Amino acid sequence: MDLDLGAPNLHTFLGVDHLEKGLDWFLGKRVNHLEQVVAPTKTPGLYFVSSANCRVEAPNLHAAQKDKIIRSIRGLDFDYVFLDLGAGTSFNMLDFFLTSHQGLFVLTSEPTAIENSFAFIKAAYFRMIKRTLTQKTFHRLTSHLDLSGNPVGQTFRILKEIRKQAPDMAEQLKQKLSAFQFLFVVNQLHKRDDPELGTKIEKVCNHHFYSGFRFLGNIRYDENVHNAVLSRQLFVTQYAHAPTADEFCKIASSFEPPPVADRPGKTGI
Amino acid sequence: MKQSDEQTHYDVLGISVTAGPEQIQAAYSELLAIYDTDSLSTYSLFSGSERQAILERSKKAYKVLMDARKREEYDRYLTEAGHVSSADMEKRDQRQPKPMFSMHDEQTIRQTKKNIQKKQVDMDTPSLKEDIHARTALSGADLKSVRTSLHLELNEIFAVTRIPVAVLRAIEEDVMQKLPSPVYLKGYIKQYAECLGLDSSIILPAYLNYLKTVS
Repeated sequence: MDLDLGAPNLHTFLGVDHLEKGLDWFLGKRVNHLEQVVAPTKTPGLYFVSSANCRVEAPNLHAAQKDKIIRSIRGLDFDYVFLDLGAGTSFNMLDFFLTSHQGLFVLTSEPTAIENSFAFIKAAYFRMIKRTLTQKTFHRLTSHLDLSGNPVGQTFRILKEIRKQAPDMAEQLKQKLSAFQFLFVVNQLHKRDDPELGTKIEKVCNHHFYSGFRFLGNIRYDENVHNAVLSRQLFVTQYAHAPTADEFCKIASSFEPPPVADRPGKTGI
Repeated sequence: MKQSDEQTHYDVLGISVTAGPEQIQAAYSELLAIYDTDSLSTYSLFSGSERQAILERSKKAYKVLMDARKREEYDRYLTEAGHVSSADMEKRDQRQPKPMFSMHDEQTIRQTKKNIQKKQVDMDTPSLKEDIHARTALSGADLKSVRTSLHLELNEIFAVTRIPVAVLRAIEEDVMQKLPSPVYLKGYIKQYAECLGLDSSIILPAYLNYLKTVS
């Protein structure tokens, strides 16, 4: 499901053109159920919800619309639902990410990408804290704090303050944060890049954050990805024997969402 | 964010209570690399003072755990506080970190220098040297090709130059993130080139040219 509402382009990667029905039909109440806008793709067993025709204001969904989408996703009758989210730290993006049973983010081995990833982790952490505490309680407990500076320091100060003022709440928060697992992949790894970068980030994050972090692997840089996008074909099918495709497949097989029975919703997201 | 006061010295270094000196040394070295100001893996995550505090905590943990008497006292405290069981302590790995060459073993160093000189004579490769000296840009891989043509091991280079093997490996594999800061790197390249019997006044500018092109 393409939920990069500001710049949807997943249909191009999948080679799916001219989809008349999509998320816009669902949001515009032209259909009642999300299932009615699910379209097949060229890959057997893979279905797709396009956001290509959504209105320009779609990235700024109202809370009610966002909740409607989340509820509808949970009602879909599929084994797994993958939400393709855009970059950034908007509340909608974070809520779609955090509502998933497992959240996966992708970075490259460049300082800018790493900086953005840490900013995203920080924002997701903040969002989890705020959603657990409610806005009013959060404000009451943290309004006097200086929340400038680096992500780790800010979160540290918030949690320390909550622990001081409301130990029970801090414990509840700790459990909530510990229950979430971030998965991540290092993409477009060049020959000269450090292949241990992902392992180091995993180690650092697991050391400093309550949430779990799991590095799934590296995907090496491959010119053919560009060629696959140009031809609007799936890279892993067009270049099935490329080492990069092999890395994609290994990562996909190591990424096992929890069994359906263990999930609160009907569908694994 | 985990509270630092929740962490024991073992947690700080990311090791188990059964870790021996060898593992403590390895864990500390890894932390120094991860929390270095130039490290990509923690880029933008910490402020300068936070980074400093982490390094100081790590150093304190390292010093306590590497000192047998201090570690014993600390372990006693942890056992009494119920953080670890004495049974865990008995499984401890006793291996000590083994230096590849003793800094004080002058004989070893002298012998290694002789071996290197002998190899340079035995494996005289003027064409390769001429080719290397003629280039305007030289990578670490080029230096490696000279070393391997002389049948020299990294340990031998280390014994003579004292350039850590990890740094030599990073230079030869051109792993930019693992290279030391330029001020040290220049000195290392000069030493390394001379150890290989090359003219460092030609090699260093050529290597720096290479770095410019890849960066």
